[in-house]
Amino acid sequence: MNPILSWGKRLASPKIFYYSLFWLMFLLVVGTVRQKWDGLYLCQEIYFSSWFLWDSPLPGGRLTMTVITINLLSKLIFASPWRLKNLGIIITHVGALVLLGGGILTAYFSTEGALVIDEGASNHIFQDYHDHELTIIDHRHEMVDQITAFSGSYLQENALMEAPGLDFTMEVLLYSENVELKPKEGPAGKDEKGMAIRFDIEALQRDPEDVNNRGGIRVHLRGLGAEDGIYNLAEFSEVPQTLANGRYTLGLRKKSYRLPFSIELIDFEKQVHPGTTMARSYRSLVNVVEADGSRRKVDISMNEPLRTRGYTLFQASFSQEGQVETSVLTVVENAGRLFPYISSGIICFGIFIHLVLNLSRYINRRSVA
Amino acid sequence: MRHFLLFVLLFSSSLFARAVHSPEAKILKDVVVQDGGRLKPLDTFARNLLLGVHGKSSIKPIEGGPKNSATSWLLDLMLNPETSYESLDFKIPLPAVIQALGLEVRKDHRYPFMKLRQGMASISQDLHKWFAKEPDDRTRTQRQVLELYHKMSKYYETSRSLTLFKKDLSIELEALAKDFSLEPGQKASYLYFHLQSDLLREEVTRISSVKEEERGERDQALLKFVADLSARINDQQVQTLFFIPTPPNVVDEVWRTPWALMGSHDIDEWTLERLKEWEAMVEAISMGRLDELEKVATNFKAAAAHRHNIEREVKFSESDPFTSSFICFLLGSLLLLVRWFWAAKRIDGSGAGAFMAKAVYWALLVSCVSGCLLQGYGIIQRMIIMNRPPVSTLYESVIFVSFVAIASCLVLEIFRRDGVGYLSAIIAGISLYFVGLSYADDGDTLGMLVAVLNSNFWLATHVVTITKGYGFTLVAGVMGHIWLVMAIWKPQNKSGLDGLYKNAIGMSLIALLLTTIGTILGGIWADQSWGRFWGWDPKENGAMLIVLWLLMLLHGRISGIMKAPSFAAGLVLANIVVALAWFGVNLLAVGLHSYGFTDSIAYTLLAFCSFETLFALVGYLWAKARLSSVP
Repeated sequence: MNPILSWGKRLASPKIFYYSLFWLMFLLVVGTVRQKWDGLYLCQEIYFSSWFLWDSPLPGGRLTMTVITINLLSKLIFASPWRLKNLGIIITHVGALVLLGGGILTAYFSTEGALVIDEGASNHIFQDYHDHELTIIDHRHEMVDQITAFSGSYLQENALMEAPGLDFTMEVLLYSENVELKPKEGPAGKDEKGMAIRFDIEALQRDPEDVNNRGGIRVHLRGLGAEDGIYNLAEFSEVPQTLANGRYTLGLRKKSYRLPFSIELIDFEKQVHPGTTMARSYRSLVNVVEADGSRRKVDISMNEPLRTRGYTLFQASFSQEGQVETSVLTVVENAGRLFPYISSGIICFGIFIHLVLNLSRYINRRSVA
Repeated sequence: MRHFLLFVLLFSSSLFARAVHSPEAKILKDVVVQDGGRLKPLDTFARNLLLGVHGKSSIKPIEGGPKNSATSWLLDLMLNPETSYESLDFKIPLPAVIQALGLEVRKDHRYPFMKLRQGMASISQDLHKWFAKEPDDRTRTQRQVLELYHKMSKYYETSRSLTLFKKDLSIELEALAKDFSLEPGQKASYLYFHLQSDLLREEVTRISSVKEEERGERDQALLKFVADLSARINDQQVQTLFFIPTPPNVVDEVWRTPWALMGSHDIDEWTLERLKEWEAMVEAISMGRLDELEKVATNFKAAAAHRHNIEREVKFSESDPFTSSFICFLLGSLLLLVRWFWAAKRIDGSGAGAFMAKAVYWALLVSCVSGCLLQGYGIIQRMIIMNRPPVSTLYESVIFVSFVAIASCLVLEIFRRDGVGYLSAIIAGISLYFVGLSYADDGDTLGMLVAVLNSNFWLATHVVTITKGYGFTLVAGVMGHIWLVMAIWKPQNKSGLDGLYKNAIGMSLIALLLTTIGTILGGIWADQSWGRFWGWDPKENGAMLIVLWLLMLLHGRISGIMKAPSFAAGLVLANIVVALAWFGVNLLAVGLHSYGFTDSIAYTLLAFCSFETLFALVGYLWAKARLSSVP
């Protein structure tokens, strides 16, 4: 037999599918239960979006789903019995492949973050819920600030950050998604500068609740002469870390994305069921302000998001401090958005066809008694 | 046989016995009140309150006789609170709570209100501390004690709702009584004096400027009377039963309690009219003047308006279709036993025996179909009353799954005609009735929804489809049980087992279709509402788990890894997967779907999963051994 065909048939074995499903279910159960303690994001990272579990040879969710994809593809190409009675199954398998393909696109090409707007104000920057970026703001120019941001793989120990136009480099000594700033007990080291003179940063376990996490980083800066040294930076710091006589400002913040339009919050409204504190609806009345200054009024409420230019903006939460109401919209950009729609249609059609073509096999009038 | 049928008749008639309304309750049961964010009949409020404190929606009088309706009980509570506190016991099946209150645990789990009140008073310091804690930091017992405290508060506040209308205040001194247009000793209500509060205030101001020793008999009498009035001040805290509507020209949707209105001095004419109507109704009840009560109540109901679906809800509650459906299946279970063990042998004969056997067959059909229709009727009535799709809450999902499971089993019976469909329908109908009851105890099953669950098209189709999937999976699970039992009991009946096996595969395919569509529709709802198809939320994962489990079973069969016994055992275990996806994930209290209160169900769930695991394991091994012993 042709070796490709032989391997293809082996890869198409339903046993591979059976045991992969078994493993996927195990991951699903453990990942779901652990959410109680580790939170959704961490569990997603460990169990569902990982290639391997806990740096061990055990396959993570992504690898398991890849195996299933290969198995399904092989089945479709090498082992599908092309007969009418199998039509439903073939269609279903095609649908499942489209769904998995959409999942891959979503995993690698989607962004999600929070757009926070006070009533009467406008905003066009939304920030990631989890990922951080280290920013260097260059104040050299009179009219504009130039921002250089490092994120992702740069925020790892020993990573070296350098960029054209920057006259210094930074080496990451420590980075954690959650840190505690601790007043230094002994004297500062001779290389320690800025906040590092008075505070140490200590990495903590990630809290299941996003709002309870405060990212932190320790970097070794080189190239600025006397200002070379070790700097500690933490998210939400009130005192900016400036360098070179105020020419640069260093900071750690949530990864930020720019919308091609602005959202101006005209009014935020929360309605409750009469006589209770139970929310009936949340609603943000906003103006979508385009780059050319044109604006249109839009109502964003629960289950009624705004979809525009590939972005979905939905009502996520709100806060009120004094008289100021603040609306939090979640912004999602997802390249694989249409795949589930297409695939679900194909899968449902496939299972339906299979049932119709094979129903008589499963209806049996023979008596048990 | 005749004795058996007589027993069935007596048994079913006793189960169908309904609670009786007092004459006053009959008139006032459909008065509209605002509670839990919606308008509902007084009858519904009464049922929920009684269910919450007493564990039942009607009450047996101490002197015996038919059960009293919840509305009758509520009116008695509000008109005679002091005596009612003694006549109703709270049901508290949690010994730890009773021990925390320093009371003696009773075997019947029933405790008088006043005893509980003393217990609460004895731990008032602890209560303050527990209230101050974050909910997650409270122990299980602390949480349960605070829940009881809320129930007791609601009960007590409700009992004080009408105290301002009762004519139990009087002035003995003629000179003073005349000033309030009363005869000496004539009884009047708090409301009556509240409406003359300007005169009272003037008098008190005047007396306060008079030296104590110079105060005359009239002044002393007035001060004593004001002290009596002030003693009612505690009742002004009553904010539970909102039954005074907002006037027609007012936009505010929030109704008021009569005591809350006593806090304002400028009650509008329309509202005043309603308060006086209540005063007249309370007077008419206490004097036993039913004609007058009916006349005033009719006026009040007409003025209050907002009667959309109120009568329907009262009728729905009174008819209690879900309990009736349960009784039908209980009856069906008896008839099925008779059919299998007595009638099946006589059906093809002649004479009286064959006639009786046919009667049993027909009675079984009628009782199971009636049970299904009653379930469907109940769901439709709820949809009309709440003007929303059939499934929006966990309770609604239980009754809907029950309906789907029962209906699909009856369709199966059309094809099989050997009673297996009936058996599956009866098992599903009875077991899910009890699951539903555990949720009904939590309060109003016709509750309002949080903002995220306020319907849109995709949400409605998603939950309806996925719950249908739950229903079919459970039926497939029940068939798995039956297959294993059949294989152990009659392993030689190959054709019967084979037929049932094929039916089970067909059922699991339908279940797979529905759970897959339901899960995908859920993703589409998520995408439409939040811009993302999948978020690994526990409820989403739970739905996917059912899909994967069914896929695994079907592919295990195709690949030859699973034979009939293991497939049947897998279907039994599918019930665990459904239960975890349906209720279990809510115990995690994380994610967007964490809306269901299911703390109390944790132990039941654990027991169910343990039982099913044991059944699957023992059933599988035993069935395999029995099958291998047959040539």
